[in-house]
Amino acid sequence: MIEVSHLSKLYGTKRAVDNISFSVKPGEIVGFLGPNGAGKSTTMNMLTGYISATAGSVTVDGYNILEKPREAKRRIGYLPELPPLYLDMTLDEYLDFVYELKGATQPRRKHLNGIKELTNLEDMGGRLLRNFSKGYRQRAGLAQALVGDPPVLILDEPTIGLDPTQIIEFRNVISTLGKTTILSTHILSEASALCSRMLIINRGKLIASGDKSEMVGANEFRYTVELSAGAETVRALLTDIEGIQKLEIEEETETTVTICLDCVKDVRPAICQALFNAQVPILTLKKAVPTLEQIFLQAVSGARGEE
Amino acid sequence: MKAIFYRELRAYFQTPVGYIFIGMFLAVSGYFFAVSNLLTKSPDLGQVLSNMMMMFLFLIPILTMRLLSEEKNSRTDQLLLTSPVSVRSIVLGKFAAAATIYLLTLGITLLYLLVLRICGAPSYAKIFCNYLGFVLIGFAFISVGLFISSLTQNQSSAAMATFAALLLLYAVEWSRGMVHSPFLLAIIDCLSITKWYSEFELGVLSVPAIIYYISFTAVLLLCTMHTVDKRRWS
Repeated sequence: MIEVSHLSKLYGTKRAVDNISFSVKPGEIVGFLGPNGAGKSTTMNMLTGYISATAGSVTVDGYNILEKPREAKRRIGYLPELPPLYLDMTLDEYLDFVYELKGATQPRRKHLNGIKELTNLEDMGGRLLRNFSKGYRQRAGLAQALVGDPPVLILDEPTIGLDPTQIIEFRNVISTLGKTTILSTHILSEASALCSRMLIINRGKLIASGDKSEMVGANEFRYTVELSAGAETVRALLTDIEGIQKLEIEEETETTVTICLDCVKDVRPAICQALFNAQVPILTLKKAVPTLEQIFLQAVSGARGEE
Repeated sequence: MKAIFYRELRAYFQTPVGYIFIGMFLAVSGYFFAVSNLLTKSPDLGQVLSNMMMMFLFLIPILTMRLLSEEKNSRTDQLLLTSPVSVRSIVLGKFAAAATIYLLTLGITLLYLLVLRICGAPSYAKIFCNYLGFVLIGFAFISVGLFISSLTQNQSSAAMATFAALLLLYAVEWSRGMVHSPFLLAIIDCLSITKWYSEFELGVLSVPAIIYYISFTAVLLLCTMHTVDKRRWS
């Protein structure tokens, strides 16, 4: 549905985006991750035709965004970082305007009401956008992107400014729409909740991409255990347990130790049994889910390794 | 283009801008009408329009300052430029909205004509020429303002720069006496936007002047489209 090949953007001599290629299949939800200033917004602005690329191409549904802008843009709903709202309009006037602007063909009232329902804005139609709170502005921005029912959604940091309930609602909306979606974020939990695939970008370069399981659950049997004992005792106790590949001491204090276990199978019952027999109290035992920072650092070091 | 035109037109009346423009224009032209027509019992409406030319330097910037600068400032240009509309229709839509407000205001001043008709015998042909010239010069001024509005994100800078640009275009004629080089004279001819109006003022339907104003406006509109487009390529 979306084909990006060798996309680059130069600002003066600064490479904001450097030779990025990827493709997105119909119906797929792809997370675009990276720290602030990594080039996420620049890439999204190029995907939607807001700015041009210095090199490379973007095609949406077979239409090149620069050669056939009208056809390509018709297929994209875009929510930029700041929702592009005319603050002097009411929500209804605004959506009407966007409907006209995009040349939508759906029955107007029904279509716009459906969108307002979906984004939980039914009661807000007559209110001035100026008076909307940040969360509501974000929703109005999403509503705008949905006008004309485009098959592709491009959302730049869509959950910023939303409260936790709104974030969950928002995720539900996105996953029920079933549209081809690219969304950028720097929050891993968001990406892992929504996206089937992730692209990690740093300093304009695509440094890693892959399925959620590949990225998040690099090892399914990885545990963090906090114990009330000395490091050496623990090491002695656990070396005999079958299935533990690697034992790392993460943190040690006077009375406790936190270790990280890489295992080939679920060893939790065995560990508990062994520690219980040795009368070592377990303070915490949990699956180790890597944070974005860890994945990110891993990806960065991986990218460095390849160079 | 229609969507942008209607939105812009509505925006003029949702913000004070439209009222300020129409109100000030009518107040000042009303005063001129009273002074130069009613009190002196003259049927020459052209006088009012010529006097209004000065007022344009202040009023046109008000009309055009927001047009493109505000889009950039509020980031709504992201919506426009990622929608399936061309830069051309965005610029033309904006121009048409400003031009409509201008024509609307000018339309109201036709009431003066009615007053003249009741009280005396105005020369319709001459007044038609006056108005035609006035419409054309207004469009040219609006295109200058629109172009400058595309250069900045800030409304007040756009207004001030437009005022300065219009003032220069207005005053360039004054340098004519001091210049002898034919090349410079040709440039002055090109830029001297008010000089071309003088024929209309006399009641002459001057084809070169019509062509001049239309080309002037068209060139600035093209420059505006180019500026909007260029930002995406830099």
